[in-house]
Amino acid sequence: MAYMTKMTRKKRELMAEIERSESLSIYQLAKRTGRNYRRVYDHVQEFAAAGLVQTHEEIHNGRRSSMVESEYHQRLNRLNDMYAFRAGIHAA
Amino acid sequence: MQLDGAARRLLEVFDPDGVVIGGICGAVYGVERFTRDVDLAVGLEPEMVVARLQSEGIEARVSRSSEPGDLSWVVHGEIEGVEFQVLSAKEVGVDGSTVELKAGLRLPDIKSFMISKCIAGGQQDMHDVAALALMHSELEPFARETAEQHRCQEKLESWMDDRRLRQKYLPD
Repeated sequence: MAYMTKMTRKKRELMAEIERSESLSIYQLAKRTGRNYRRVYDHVQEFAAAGLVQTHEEIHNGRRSSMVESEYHQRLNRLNDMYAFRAGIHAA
Repeated sequence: MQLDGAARRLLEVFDPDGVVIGGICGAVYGVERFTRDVDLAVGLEPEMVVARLQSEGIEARVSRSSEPGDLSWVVHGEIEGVEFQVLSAKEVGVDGSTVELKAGLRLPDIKSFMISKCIAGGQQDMHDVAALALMHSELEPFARETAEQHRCQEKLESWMDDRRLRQKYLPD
């Protein structure tokens, strides 16, 4: 795991919110936790560098959003991929 | 519809009574195994389960059993092409007080999930318990104790010794 500065209480709370929630944008995450967008963005970048979360870009209504996913989301995504793959084979 | 989408839809139908168990719950906790359906545990009677589903336009039917070792009822249905089963939370050993929220899904905590798997006691169930015990060494005594209580210790030990499972799940 890459280096990450100290896991403060605020970072722990943010991480817990990411793990609890469905996939969220950084904007939604900032709004939900009542924190400053820039601060949340910086923490998410730290988490991503440490391998704790993954981020990817999505476009909603023409606007680009940075989505954040914990390891729990990534595991669900893998399961969905397996399911879709098997369903595709079955349908063919 | 994807599996997690179906699970979210069912949780909405039974909110706040349902928790996701089975393969999806296992996947969230890190067990990599294919599943083709959604399993939900609820603290409701089967008639109420069917009524709630039908009020949301979801067809469902109850199957009952009086065979020893079987669940007394299971509600079966399909939601946008994804099959699901709703089971009695009490019979599968899921306690409503140990619910966790992960990736937006209501799940039993990891110990309650292991208990539910030991109650089911099948080969796939014990595969999942062994995988979790290998991933989290602090849960190994709990897994063995629970498996012994539910008379499935032999299956657990066999999976715990499985070379491929150990390679896959034991931390480096």
